[in-house]
Amino acid sequence: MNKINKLFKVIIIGLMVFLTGQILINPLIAVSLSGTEIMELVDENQFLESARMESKMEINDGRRVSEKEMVTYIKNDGEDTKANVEFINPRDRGARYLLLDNELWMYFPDAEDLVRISGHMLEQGMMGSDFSYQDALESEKLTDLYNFELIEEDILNNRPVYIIEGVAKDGEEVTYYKRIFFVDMERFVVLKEEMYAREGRLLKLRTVEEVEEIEDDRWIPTRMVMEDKIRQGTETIYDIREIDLSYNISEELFELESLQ
Amino acid sequence: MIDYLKIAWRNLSRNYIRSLIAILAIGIVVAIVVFSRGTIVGFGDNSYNMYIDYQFGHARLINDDYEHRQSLLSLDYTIDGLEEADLNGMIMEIERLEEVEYILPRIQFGAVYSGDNLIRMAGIGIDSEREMFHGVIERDLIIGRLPEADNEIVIGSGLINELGYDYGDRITFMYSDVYQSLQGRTFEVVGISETGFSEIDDNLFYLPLNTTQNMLGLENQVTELMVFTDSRANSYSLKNELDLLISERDTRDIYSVIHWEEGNPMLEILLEFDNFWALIYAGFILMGSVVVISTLKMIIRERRGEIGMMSALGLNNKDIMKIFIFEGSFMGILGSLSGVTIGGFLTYYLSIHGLHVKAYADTVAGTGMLIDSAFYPIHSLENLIISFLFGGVIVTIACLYPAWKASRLDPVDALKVDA
Repeated sequence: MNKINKLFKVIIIGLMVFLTGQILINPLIAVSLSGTEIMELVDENQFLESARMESKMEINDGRRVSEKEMVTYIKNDGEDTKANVEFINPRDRGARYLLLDNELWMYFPDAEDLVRISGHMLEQGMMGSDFSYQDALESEKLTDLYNFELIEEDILNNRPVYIIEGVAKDGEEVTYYKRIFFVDMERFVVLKEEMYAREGRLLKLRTVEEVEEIEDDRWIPTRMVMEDKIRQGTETIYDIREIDLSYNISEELFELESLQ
Repeated sequence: MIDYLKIAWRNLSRNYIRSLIAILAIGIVVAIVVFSRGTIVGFGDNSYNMYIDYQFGHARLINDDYEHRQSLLSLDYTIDGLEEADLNGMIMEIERLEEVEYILPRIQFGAVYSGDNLIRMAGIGIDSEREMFHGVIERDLIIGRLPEADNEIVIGSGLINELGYDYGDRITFMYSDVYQSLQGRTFEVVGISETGFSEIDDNLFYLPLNTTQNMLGLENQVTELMVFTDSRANSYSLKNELDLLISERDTRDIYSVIHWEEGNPMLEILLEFDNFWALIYAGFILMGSVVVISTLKMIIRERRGEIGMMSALGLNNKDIMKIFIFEGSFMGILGSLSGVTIGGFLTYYLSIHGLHVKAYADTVAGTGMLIDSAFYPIHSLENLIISFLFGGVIVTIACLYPAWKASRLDPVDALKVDA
């Protein structure tokens, strides 16, 4: 009987030590976070200082499925994002995009001039996909653009999530007036996102199918499906096949001269 | 009868001013009818020919699903042949049909220019050799020639002005191919065209069909076949032949033949108005006839005693009625003659110098309707004869009632009143 009592005490003490340790180690469990704080953690999680990615886009426009493969180089100094995208699938081979000083430049093998994309063109589907150029190139921190509010906590695909509503800050020019994020409570990665127009119409739905731990306790979505709800019966699957955060990226890649 | 005609003619001169006013009223409305008919027929002909020459042919063969998506310039629904025959085989087969004069295969696609502003436009892939035979694009060239080599284009005058380029310059456009790949390509401007239709001049450029097929991934495909016969009158026979061909070749579910009249809702409205105009012309002349009727009624009131006298002398109701009908008819005929003379001169003058309506054409350009910035009323003998008969007959018919009233006057009462 004494043995049982001792064993019971050991278990209770052990549990208390474990829980105390968890609370000390991960203060987030003990402290309730605001919507903005959660999204700051998401921003930090998704922030890539430097990366080389190989990815694939599968575009289903309801009639035909086409695939785009690309290699992307990204550098971000915390204020500006520079990105160089090179398409490597046969149909688009040689086409390159350069995001520089918040402007998008394009190079096409059959064109003599670089093309600068601006205005409404940025709202068009990138390569006919459900991702607009603005979706793909969004580099500002979400917390700079939106006011966030934690709506509720829920379960999504067996994962506990925060449901957070972001409404555009006054004076900020954003593509979507309102966005609802389903943020994984433990990994601080967005698992689902709904994007709305000012009048409340659902414009796009992004669902994350896979997330990957790229560094210790740092997760990013690596496979997602975007559905443009204005178009009918279309979806685009974006799949990051390889990501290298330690790749030595030459600055030349981000110069206009090197685009041609 | 001759005596009655003489009396009626003589009566016209009994009150010059009154007769002149009645004749003038008829003259003005008939002149309006002559001018309106000439203008409407000219406007219609101009528009119909424009639609036929630039957009539809006399009949247009397209993929069945393309019809509702052509405004989006979809590349997903194309023409690629008939059963075992490829596109060229299909064209040859259509050319063998009795009513077919020639065919223009074309591909329409969307393109953009990204400069300080984003400018949207439509490119049309054309077979230059066939287009030379058709002659329309070549005729509209204000400088240069049709595109022949890979990256040559002919561009609308309004569009090139908006882009800020000129003849001989190289311009880079972007477009999406059939696989939704955004592509860019640099073209050399080898010609500038000006149709006078802002819808075309401000939005279109032409390039070789082979280049278009290659760059869009539409090898051996086109989005439409514009088929021409020898005249508009034969266009329904042409459509029937094409319908029969695609039915016989089991492609009824794939392709549609669109008659030029059904090609554009605005055009259908315009065509429906054609029937409506006759009523409007009749309404105009009836308005003028009111003056003649009033004049006749005044005359009858003034000549009650004279009518009574004629009855007393043995003229029956019919004879009295004839005299007044002839008098009204003379007014109608003289008025119509002056009307066709005035209207004829005006129409003839404008048929040479044109009516310039650029502001109107620019306003309606956004509706997708082809309106020329200057159009030419049609001056024709047919128009003059029809308008003259229209005026004469309607005025004569309008005179029946007052003449009939005159013939029904009781001679005793009529003489009493006069006394």
